[in-house]
Order: sequence, then C-alpha cells, then structure tokens
Amino acid sequence: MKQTVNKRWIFLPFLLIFSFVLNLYLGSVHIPIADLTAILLGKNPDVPVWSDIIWQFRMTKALTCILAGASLSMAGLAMQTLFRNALAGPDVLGISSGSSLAVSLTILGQTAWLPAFAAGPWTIAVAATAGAAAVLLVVLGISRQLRDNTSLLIVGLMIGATVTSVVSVLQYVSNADDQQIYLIWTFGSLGGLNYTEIVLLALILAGATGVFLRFAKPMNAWLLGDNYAASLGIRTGASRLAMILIACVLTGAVTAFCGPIAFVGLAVPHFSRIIFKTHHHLVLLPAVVVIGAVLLLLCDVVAQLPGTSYILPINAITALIGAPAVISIIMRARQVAL
Amino acid sequence: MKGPPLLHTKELAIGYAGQTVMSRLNLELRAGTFVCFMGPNGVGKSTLIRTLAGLQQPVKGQVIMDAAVYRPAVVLTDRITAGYMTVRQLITFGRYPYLSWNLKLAAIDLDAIEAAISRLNLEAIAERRLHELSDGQLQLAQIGRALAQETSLILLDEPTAHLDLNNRLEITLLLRKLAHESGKAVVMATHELDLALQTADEVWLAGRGDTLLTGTPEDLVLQGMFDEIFKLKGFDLRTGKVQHVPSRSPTVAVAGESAAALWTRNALARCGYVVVTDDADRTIGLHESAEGKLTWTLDQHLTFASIESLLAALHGL
Repeated sequence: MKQTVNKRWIFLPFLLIFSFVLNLYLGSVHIPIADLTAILLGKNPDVPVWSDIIWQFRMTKALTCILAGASLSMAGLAMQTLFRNALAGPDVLGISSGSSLAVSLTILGQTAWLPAFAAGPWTIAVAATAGAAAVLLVVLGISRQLRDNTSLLIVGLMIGATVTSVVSVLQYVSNADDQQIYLIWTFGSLGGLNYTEIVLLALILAGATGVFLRFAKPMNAWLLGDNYAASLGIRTGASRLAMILIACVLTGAVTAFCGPIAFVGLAVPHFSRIIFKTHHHLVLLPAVVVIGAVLLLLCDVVAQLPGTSYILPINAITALIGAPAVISIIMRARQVAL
Repeated sequence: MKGPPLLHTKELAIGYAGQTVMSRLNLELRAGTFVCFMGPNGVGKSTLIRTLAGLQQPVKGQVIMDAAVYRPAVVLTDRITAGYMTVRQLITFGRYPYLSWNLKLAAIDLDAIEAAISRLNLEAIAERRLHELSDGQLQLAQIGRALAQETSLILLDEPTAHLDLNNRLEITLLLRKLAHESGKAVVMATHELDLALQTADEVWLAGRGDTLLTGTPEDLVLQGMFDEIFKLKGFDLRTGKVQHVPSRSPTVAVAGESAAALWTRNALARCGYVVVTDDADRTIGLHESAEGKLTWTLDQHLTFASIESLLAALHGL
C-alpha cells in the first residue's frame, strides 16, 4: 500500500527515549540528572547506592514497562483485527481474567489441591497463557453468533464476572499468605521482574513480532471479512490461529509477570489508528509497539507520584487513560468501526 | 458469446452440511459473457456464487476452472469494518494474490491499480475513506478491487441492492461493458428483473425445481419461466411495464408518437382508461408551439396545459 512518508514517525523514537529517561530519572529517591548519566555510562555516582537503585530497580522497571506496553498493545491489535471490533482487547473480553484464573489456580491452588505445581515464574507464564487461550476460544466461539460490539462486550464482562467468582471461591479455601501474594499480583506490578524474566519477556515479544510480520498481509485482508480474505488467496484458518497465538502468548506472558494490566491493549491500537489513520498492519505494528511502551512508561511515572514515597497500583493509572478511550470508541463507532 | 469456457460445472450440487439447495448444475461460462443470475430470495444465489468462487465446498460434483482464471474476483454483500481504509487501498487488495508478506507493490501492481481507478472514473474519490462513500461509490470501489485482481472471471452477489435506479443502471451497464470489452466473464446475482432482461447476454434462473434454467433472457420470457418463478403480480413481462387493470369506461386514443404522446398514454393507462388506437370514445390531440410549449386538446375543442388538468377533465365527464 502506498504511503507518504509520515512526519509522525520522527517524533515517536524521541518520545520513547524521553519517556524512558524520565522514567529512570523520577522516583522516590532524587538522583541528579548528571549522576544518572554517569550511572548509565557505567561510571560511579556520588552516592554508590544510586547505582544499585538505577540498575537493580528502575532499569528493570523501565524495561518491563517497554516490553509489557509493547506486548499488550500488539496483543490488542491482533485481537481487534481477529474480532474486527475496535472494542476487543486483552482485558475487555475477559482474556486477562482467564489468565488471572489460571494464575490463581497455580498460586492459590497450592494449599487446596494442586501442591504438585511450584508457583515459579515459568509455571505462572505457561498457566497464564493457557488461561488466556481458553477464554479467547470461548469468546471467539460466541462472537461468531453475535454481530454487534455491545453484545460482545457484555459477553466479555460476564466471562470476567464468572472467572472472578471462581477466584473468590479459591481465595476462600486458600491460606492467608497465598491470598496476599495473589492480591498483590492483581494490582499489577512492573517492578518485580529480574533480568532473566525480562529477557524471557523480550524473547516472547520478539517471537510474536516475527509471527505478526509474517501475518501482516492476512491481517490486512482479514478486515474485509472471511470471504473476501479467502477470495484473495489468504488461508483464513492459519491466519486466525496466528492471531490467537499472538494475542494469547503476549497477554499470558505479561499477565503472568506483571499482573492483569488493564486498558493498554485496548487503547493503544485505537490511539495508533487515530494518529496514523490507517488499517495497514505493517504501519500499525511499529506504532503500537512504540506508543504502548511510551504509554506504560508514562503511566508508571505517574503511578510513582514523583517526589513522594507513595506508589499507586499501575492499574489505577491505566484505567484513567483507558476508560475515556473506550467511551470515545463507542461514540465514534457509528462512523469508523476499526 | 463465442470463446472457450472459462468455467464449467459437472453435476454440481451446492449447499451446506446435510442441506442441498441446488443440484444437477451443469453450467458453462464463456469469456465476454454478461450473465444475470436471478431467483427468489433464499433460493441459494449467494451459495452458488461462493461455491463457484471456491469459497465454499460443493456438496457433490465439481467446479472446473480454466487455468487462465487463476482465482475469480468476487464482490459480495459482506460489510467491511476498516473505516480508515481509502478507496485506493481497497482496490490495492485486488493485488494481494500477487504480493508477498511485505506487501511491496511492483510497477505492474501499481499499473493495475491505476488502470482500475481510471477505468471506473474513481480518480476523484480515490483518496476518500470508505465510511465517507455513498453505497453506489462503495460498490464501484469494490468492482475496482475486482478489476485490479486481473482475473477473467468476476462474480458479484447483488451488487445493485440498496442502490437507487440511476446507480443500479450505471453499475449494470458498466459490468456488461467490462464483459464485452475486456473479454471477462461477469456473473451478477440480482433482483432487477427489468434491468437484467434488457442487459444480460444470458440469464441463470433459479427457483424452478432445485436446478437452474439457463438461456437468453428473451427465450426464457417467451417460455413463461419468469412468470412461473416470480409469480409476477401486476408486472407485464411482454411489455416490460406494470400491468394496469381497466377501471374506467371511455376508451381513449392519443395521436402521435412523440415522447409526450407516450407519457400521456402511460398516464391514461395508470388511471384505468383503456387506451386504443382507433374507434375511441374520446380522442386527444397534442400540439407543440414554436417555443416548445405543449398543449393537449380533448375531442378537438377543449384545450389543456398539463396532463393533470386533462385527467381532471376526463374524470369529470
């Protein structure tokens, strides 16, 4: 598809670098910008502990923001294309709830009946992906019977409610320590990852990006509907599977390591389409990756309440941005579906 | 209608699992033919279009396609959900069968897209977004996409539904022209009886038994097939007009062959008068002044300036 070189591309990398540095710079401990630069260049700062704060805490958190934001946004874009619905998203359709249920089964189920599984990061990652896939397949099955946005949204809410009630039952039968681990996990946390987990998340994102690139053409054609896509030589079965895979693996991985982070996956593809005014997935892919990363970096900055020692749950901030996005989609839905 | 068959079917049966909607189809589709495919609702027109396009498996039998067709282009009734898509981008989808994963357009692809745009005179709306288009423009853009696909077979499922008369006519004539000028075979499923009868090279008629009647439209009319299948209520196929039941007593004759005379006769027939050529109870004459002003004379002594006043006078007699 013909594209004019877009000026908007120029500011995106700058925005990413700016948000990244801002995220590293701001925190409950004030570190002067000169020392921050020194630390990043591998030199020793005035206060030695600052080096640890940056490398062991803020850097992992900033990298997690980038990876999680990019992953959730890419998952959201894949889901919106899959459902041909601008309101699809990891959390809206109960996909994150599916992950939550699977994770709660592995964490809370320890005391109840699943002592065989150790709740390590890998187990949680696999469980979260499986949970996401299970719910996505159910929603996909139901969506074939439904045509309009609102019904699908309500189905997603109902699945979320069902899953939440199962989780409450699990909480009721589990012990206090496990409950607390689970509760903290549900707040969403970007600061809890070590470098091994970050590398794992990066590898998953890289793999999903590869699949996405390979399937960008089918995903474009997908917007015309199954029949048109097939008439253009697209293998619809394989393409559907690829989109499900991208959505589930990315949602599952992020949900496992960071908890259910709301609204990013829904809002970012929407913002990207508003900015770049295109349906083309090879244009939207870099857009959602960068905008998703920037959005989560900035949300994290706000969540830290710079200058104070309070930290808000990241979900509280993403919802503040995401909820208006949903409303704006519904308001515009009559003119632009995707 | 000469040329090798681009597509033929052998004892084809179509439908869904467990339910056959049409069977024993032995169709032949030749290059340069414009086919109108007609039949009552729910008879399986869309199913046949999808089956011929290879989007749906036949229940039985085969669709055999000439190697030159490659992949038939289709225009379906499915709605498109991408509102940011422009007309040019929609037409670009026609090149998808030829593109690799990175969607890089070669010169030949760009040429095909430009050719489709200029062929359909879409230059003015090429950069418009789909949600800004009227139904007729959207349909033209879809036909543009089918053209850019550069196949010798185009299948369309009710492309003129929801369009006004002018757009219906434009699209039907365009499709016929495409078939005749570029040697494509074009099959259009449609409900437009009058348009189809006046434009199609061949009609496929569904609804009598579970198979298709095929033939030249005029033959099918004279065999009474349309009347039988559509159970026409008040439409006279032999004249191609709505039937009027005489309800008023005087017979009327209108002199002349001009357009004004024709419309005067139509108006009289609509109002239930029996229009005859001679031995009429009343005669109407038509006069056109040097300035082009029309007047009607009834029985050579009453003069009227409009059909409306003429009719009012006739009703009062």
